[in-house]
Amino acid sequence: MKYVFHRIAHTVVLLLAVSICSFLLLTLAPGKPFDEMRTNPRVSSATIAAERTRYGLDRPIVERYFYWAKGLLHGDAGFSFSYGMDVRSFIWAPTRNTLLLTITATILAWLISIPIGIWCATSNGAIDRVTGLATSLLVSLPEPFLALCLLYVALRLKYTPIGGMSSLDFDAFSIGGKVLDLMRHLFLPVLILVFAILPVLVRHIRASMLDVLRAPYIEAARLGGVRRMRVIWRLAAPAAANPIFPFVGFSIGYLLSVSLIVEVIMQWPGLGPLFLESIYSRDLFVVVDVVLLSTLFMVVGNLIADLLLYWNDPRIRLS
Amino acid sequence: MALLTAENIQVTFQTRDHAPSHALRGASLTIQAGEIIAILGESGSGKSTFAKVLAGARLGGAQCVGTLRFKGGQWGSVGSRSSADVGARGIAMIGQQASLVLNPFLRARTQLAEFVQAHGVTRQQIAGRVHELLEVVRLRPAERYAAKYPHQLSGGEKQRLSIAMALACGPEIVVCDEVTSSLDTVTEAEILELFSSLRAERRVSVLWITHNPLRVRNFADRVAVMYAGRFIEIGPTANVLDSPLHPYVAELMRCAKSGISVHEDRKGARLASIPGAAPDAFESFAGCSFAPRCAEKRDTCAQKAPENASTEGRGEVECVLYER
Repeated sequence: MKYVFHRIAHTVVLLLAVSICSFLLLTLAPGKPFDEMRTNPRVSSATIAAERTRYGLDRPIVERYFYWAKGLLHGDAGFSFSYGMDVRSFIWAPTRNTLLLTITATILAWLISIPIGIWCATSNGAIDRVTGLATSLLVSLPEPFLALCLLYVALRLKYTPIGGMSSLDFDAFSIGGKVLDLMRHLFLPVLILVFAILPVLVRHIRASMLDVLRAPYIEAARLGGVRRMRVIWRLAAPAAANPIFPFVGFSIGYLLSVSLIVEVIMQWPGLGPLFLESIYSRDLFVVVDVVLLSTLFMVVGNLIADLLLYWNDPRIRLS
Repeated sequence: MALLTAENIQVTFQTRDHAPSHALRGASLTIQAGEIIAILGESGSGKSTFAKVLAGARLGGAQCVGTLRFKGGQWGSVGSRSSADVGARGIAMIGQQASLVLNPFLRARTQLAEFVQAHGVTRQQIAGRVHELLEVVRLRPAERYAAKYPHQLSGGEKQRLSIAMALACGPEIVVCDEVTSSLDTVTEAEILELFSSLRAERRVSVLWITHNPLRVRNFADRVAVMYAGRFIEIGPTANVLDSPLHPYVAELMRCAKSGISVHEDRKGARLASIPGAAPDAFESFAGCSFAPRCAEKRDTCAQKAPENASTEGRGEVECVLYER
């Protein structure tokens, strides 16, 4: 329990540091909110100054940060200058969409990579070599290129939608139809994300499993007549999982960052397009909130990884 | 009929940048049912490799030649056996570091259950068998030890658990490779006593590999001494320890005994050692491997390999001094 509290305290400190850094960097970066209004001859500089005063942008940076942080503690994530409304009123939908995409891809990637990694580690020869070649090829491809390749294939096959999150007549569908429509739209972006992370996961699972399979306690079990499948799944898998758990956090963070690009390419209404748009329009609070949300997801991912490690390893649990 | 016969076992490791490395150069040994044999020898003499060959352990792509017979039935070439054969046919091996053969992620009962389950014990019988094994190795109370993870056990307890795991497959032969070398004297004595009772109660044969000849005096029935990949003297324990035949074994015993009698000498007196060095595994020789270090060597020793000679009641020896 102490371990869990320690990790949660660590998370709070990390979020605080990230919020300060992102707030500071964005404020110090060239360009300010309402700058694009200056190019409009019909808007006077007095109007712009009044707007800046209205939103507290003329206050010192420390004061602005504490004002925003205090608001955040009360559930107020700041104000969007571009949308003209509170960030919390519109940020939930893109967050949900990004999480749907990222979590689906993360779960699928792990479900596929675990058996492949173990299969490669336990089968010597052609299978391992072919998979090794395929993962080397995949890992060397930049994600946008991979996304464009799969987009091209989908375009030719015309089986799945190549953009968006739902069909135009989505509201007219039954619940089953809506789920099916969502799954069809999810297919391609999820496939891109799975292909992006799969080689990394397969390689690490394979290496970890190979390492454990050489351990004396596995050799002892083999000599003791324990069946091969029991040796792999019951004796070797828990030990091989230990160095793999940190990759749970990594995979969530990595897929989240890749999903921001994929969302833009695939017109998925998630945090990616919103983030890009907010940077262009210097929408300070939206950018900081998205950065903070991404950090939170990554931290939660790492927390899950730590808890899995804690649950799996009796040496940590009982120390 | 002998329980296990190993005939002319040769193990050669092929290395890229060196000549072939000969770990075993024709080792032969017969083990009777319920017998305890101690194998002595210097580091690098091939004791552990011999143990691994018997237990069917992986030898990293080494070339294995020779014949093993278990209860008269031929196992064929030593390199062709699968590990499942070994487990099923009843040879178990226990290594030097018990902590390495225990899975750190599983409780004692889970590890034992996996071994027990692999040998035809039904699901309902597993808990009872695990309890029995823990009792046999004197990890008492068994319920408490069954729930422990390896890191919660002491060195001696870990070694006992590894012995329980070895016994789980109901072996007729247990190969112990320097099992007590990392344990304190009291725990070592307890483990030796445990194996003596296992032999008495279950007629388990024990192949006890050790560096310490004096420890096996009241434990082993026979002693087999290995040098450069061959058994050069095999005989009853008292004979080999007190009046060895082979000049190397005589030197070995002198060194072992000098370790305990050094205090009788003046301070600064040097411990006894054998002049020269044992041949390394890359060396090839036509004659006796001990000839360069032997004080009693003959002119023919360097050219002609000694033949195995049986001496009345005193076992076998490979030395020209005893050839007829």
